[in-house]
Amino acid sequence: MTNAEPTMGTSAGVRDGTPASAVAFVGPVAHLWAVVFMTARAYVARSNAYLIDVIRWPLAPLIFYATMRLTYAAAGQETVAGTNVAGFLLVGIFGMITWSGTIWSSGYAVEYERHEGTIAALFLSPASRAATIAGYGLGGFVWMLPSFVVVAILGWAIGARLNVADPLAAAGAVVALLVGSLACGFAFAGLFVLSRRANLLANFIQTPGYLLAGVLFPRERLPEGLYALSNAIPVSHAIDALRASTLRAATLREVLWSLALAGAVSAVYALVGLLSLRKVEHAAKRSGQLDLY
Amino acid sequence: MTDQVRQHVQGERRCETDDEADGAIAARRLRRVYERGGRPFRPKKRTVAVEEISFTVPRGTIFGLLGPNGAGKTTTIKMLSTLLIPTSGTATVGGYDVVRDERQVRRRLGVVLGGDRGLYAKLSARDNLTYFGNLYGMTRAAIARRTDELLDLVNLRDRAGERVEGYSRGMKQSLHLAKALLHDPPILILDEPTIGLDPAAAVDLRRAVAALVPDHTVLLTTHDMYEADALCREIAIVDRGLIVAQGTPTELKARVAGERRVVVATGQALNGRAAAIDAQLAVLDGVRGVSQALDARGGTELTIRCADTALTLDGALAILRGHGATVSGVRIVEPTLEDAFLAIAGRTFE
Repeated sequence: MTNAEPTMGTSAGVRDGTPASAVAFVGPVAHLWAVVFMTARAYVARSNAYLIDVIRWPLAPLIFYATMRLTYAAAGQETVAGTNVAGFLLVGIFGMITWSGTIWSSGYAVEYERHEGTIAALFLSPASRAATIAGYGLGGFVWMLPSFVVVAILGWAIGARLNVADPLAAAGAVVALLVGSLACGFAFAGLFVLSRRANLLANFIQTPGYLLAGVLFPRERLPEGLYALSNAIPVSHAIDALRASTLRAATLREVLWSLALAGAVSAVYALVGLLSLRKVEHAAKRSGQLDLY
Repeated sequence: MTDQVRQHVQGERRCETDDEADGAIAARRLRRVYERGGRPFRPKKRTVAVEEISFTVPRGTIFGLLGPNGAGKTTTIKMLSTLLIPTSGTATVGGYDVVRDERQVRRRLGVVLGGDRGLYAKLSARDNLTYFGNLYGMTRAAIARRTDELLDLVNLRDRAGERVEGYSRGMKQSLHLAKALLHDPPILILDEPTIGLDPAAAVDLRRAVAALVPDHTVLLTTHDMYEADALCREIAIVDRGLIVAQGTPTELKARVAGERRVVVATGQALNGRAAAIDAQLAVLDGVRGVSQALDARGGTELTIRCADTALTLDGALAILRGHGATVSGVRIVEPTLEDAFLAIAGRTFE
């Protein structure tokens, strides 16, 4: 969807200072998509520049998976929540990878730009902040794809078996997981900018997040208060749906409630994130701290 | 000024004054105060970065904000480029208010911020430009074409595929300029674009900046007097958050016309004659001051500040001859912007 100068080339008026330029611009929707995809691409390219990260990321979830599998084995438990431990953990680790890749990349987005020294350049552009953050999240997800493959291979090797009756239900759950993680990332982005200690805050939040989202063991076993709290995390519902649809052959109808909850909570997180980002940007420009690190 | 010109083409807002409509950039009583600290029970520290600044940049010209470090130049351009909200006052860029219409301002503005940062170090020059082109909403074809054009313009075509982290300071600054020009904005703000560059790179960059007008309007901040003098049609001298003088370089220097200097070198030290020569020179018509210094070859260098160099030179040579001094060299030093700043602000840039 392109047209010549839809936003700048309004008329020959002196008033808006528009040049008689040959530069063509895309429409608003295409601009949003371009920002999302190109930000994701730039994120992956920049992340690939560090060899240690290329090696570390696929291995970290693998080690986590192996550790948890051994822990369950040591406890003498071979099934959990009606499925075998290997499969249960495989789906949980998928959730963890999505969480790690997506939430932190999008949550860190503004902080990352600040650290890189590019935040002023980014904020000088007319690109949507939300699209940029979504791009970071997508880039983080793409960058973690090798981790999915590595963990899937190990899971298969140690006996994890999927039982999918309705591929649409499984696909819906994956989308819900991705959207839920992105929504969390949006919500955290503003908080991280305000704190100016994104890394420490992320590390502090991460483990409670895994526990509450039911990544490593069934959240039904959580104490009542914590279980209620876990319902407020969109990823929890997405992982419920993913386990049901990939391990227990649940149909779309059976996981619809979990998907709806994941969507609803995600919408709240996304809204909070968008509003807080706007507020944070305004506050940073008012206080003069936008480009401080 | 017609109503049609005053009106936003998209019918959003009207300009408040003729100045705002005429200028590509108009700042009116801009003020910025930083408040830092603010721990519990401790008062915030208030720093007035910009006391009050008003100016208009005519279209198609290079306008300079000249001042020492800490004068408030960078704070001013951050307010104009939507990175900072003014404490009070208003500003328009391309006719759009920098606070209310910030997205419209960003579309019309290219900014080169001073310093090494602002580029993705792990990406190549081409990838940086491609990414920023997308952030500005350019079409794929436009990005490809403009990237090639600009890489040629700043002589980076051959190294366009290398990561920016390996670039020299000059190459990065050139890439900054290319990035600012990418979406072909009608208005550019350049914050200390040649700072830290070697002389050859600075000359290249100044040449590129000079070539931007009249197609573009440029607001340039610098503390380099030579740069301001060479590039700007009009200059505002900023000191301690205020514009202390404004005009063309010639007008500003004319304000210190009495600061022309006649420098006369003698072949030998004046020794006992120095005081008498000083006294005679000081009473010549139009002379504002005389100073003497020994030069490296054992002679004396007399510097005479005056309004009329020809008259002063005649008189000085006659006085020196009268004392039997041999003149080994003469030069006339025209007033510089530094003299203007010294005269206006009462201190040097250092």
